[in-house]
Amino acid sequence: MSSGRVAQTIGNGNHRYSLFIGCTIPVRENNYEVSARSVAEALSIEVTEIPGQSCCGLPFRSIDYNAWLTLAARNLAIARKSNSSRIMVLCSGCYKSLLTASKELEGNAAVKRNVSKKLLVEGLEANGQIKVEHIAQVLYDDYGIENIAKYVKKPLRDLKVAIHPGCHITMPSKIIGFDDPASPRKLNELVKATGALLVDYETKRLCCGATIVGIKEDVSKALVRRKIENVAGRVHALITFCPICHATYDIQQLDVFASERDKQVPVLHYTQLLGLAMGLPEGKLGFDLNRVDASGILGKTR
Amino acid sequence: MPENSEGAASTRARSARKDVTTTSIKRITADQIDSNFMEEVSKMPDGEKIHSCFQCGVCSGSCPIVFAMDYSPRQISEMIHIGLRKAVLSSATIWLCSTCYMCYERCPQGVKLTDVFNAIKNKAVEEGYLAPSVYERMGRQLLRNGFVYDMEAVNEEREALGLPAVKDVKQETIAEELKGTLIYKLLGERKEGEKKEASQKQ
Repeated sequence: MSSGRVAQTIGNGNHRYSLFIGCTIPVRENNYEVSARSVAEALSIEVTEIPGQSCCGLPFRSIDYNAWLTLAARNLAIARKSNSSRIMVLCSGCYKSLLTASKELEGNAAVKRNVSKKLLVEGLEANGQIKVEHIAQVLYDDYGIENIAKYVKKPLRDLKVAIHPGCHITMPSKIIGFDDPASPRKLNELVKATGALLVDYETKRLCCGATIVGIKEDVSKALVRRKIENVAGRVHALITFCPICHATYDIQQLDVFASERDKQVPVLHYTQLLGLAMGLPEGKLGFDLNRVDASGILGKTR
Repeated sequence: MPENSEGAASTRARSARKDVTTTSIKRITADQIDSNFMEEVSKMPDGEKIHSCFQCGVCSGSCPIVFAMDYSPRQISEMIHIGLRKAVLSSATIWLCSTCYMCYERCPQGVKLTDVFNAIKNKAVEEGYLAPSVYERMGRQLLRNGFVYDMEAVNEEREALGLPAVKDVKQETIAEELKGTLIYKLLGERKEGEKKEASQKQ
């Protein structure tokens, strides 16, 4: 989709990024990647591949700090080797992992040397000097909301939505620094740019609980119930910025509300919402793969 | 923890209000205390501010999972301060943390509690305490192909969607890079079936 494209200058410069995918997207959330690539292409944001990328390391931070850092540094090193200066990350977990690792490597020479030794087997060098950005950050900070607005051909005025910001896209803010966790103004504006009506709600900051699905599933389901019951009946869709949050709500809802189907709320990746507003064909936004029925939303946008 | 009986610590515990942010440690005996424990935790990555905790309980009040925990995040911090090594490392609480970073974000003392929890989990694995089986599963998969899932089946769907194929990382490469990490320890110890006492309440 991206090979051979000529990068164009829009907003504050040259929009060329290496795309980091991670584990969850290829296994469960290919609709996020499809819609993200479609939106990027339509906005002339050039996306290149990171050959040989692997797990970002985040789940292993719990087991071994060095295992996490080695995996994260490996991916940073591969991207750097392919002459990339910026990585665009779709997953908030991968984003937090790679960004934290880049700062850790630059902040501690001994740690960097130690990780470099491990990466020698692939001829790679640990180095944190590469910009790690979430796609929401690419769109807001680099591309600019006013430039996105120019591409919104079909404002979604009949659509009421709520956002689930998710945790790692803003916290810990001392490290991430992209948006305010208490009031994510940039994420709000990105949604408002689509023309949809943004609805606020009480449990907005509640974590999706994805990390404990495999440890204590009833606890994660209780979190899904609290969040969805809070927005059910008030919005047409819940908008996510992370494939793991998306998978948690989109998959768990089917079970949690199996006998209360009227409570189910469609969950859209932000890039699906933006793609609809840009008038991109539904087939290029991966809606076939959404689990909670989103056809009602498509009806409102046609 | 042992049931309540006489002693200074138990008096203190009884006088405290019985809600989620008060300690459920009824009785502490000298043999349960490891006076080096907090020092050890503070020397681990991002553990350095643990000394500063003044027990305000913002962490527990911010935690989305606290209702399901055996000890609240504030209690775990208190237990680290006291030096209750075994109780902390065998607690189910540390594995229920969803790593949302809300406690870290809001701590008025700058304690990076989410990462202190990570430090404790690292230590628990190092010392052979039981970790949830999901980590063993992810670790085993990681050493096979560099991801936490099997990627063989995904490329058909990706090709149909026009997405590039996901390629496995060579086993020898990933094994060499992760040599000496606790992922191996986690897998190895499971095989031997030897585990220290743990309180995984499922």
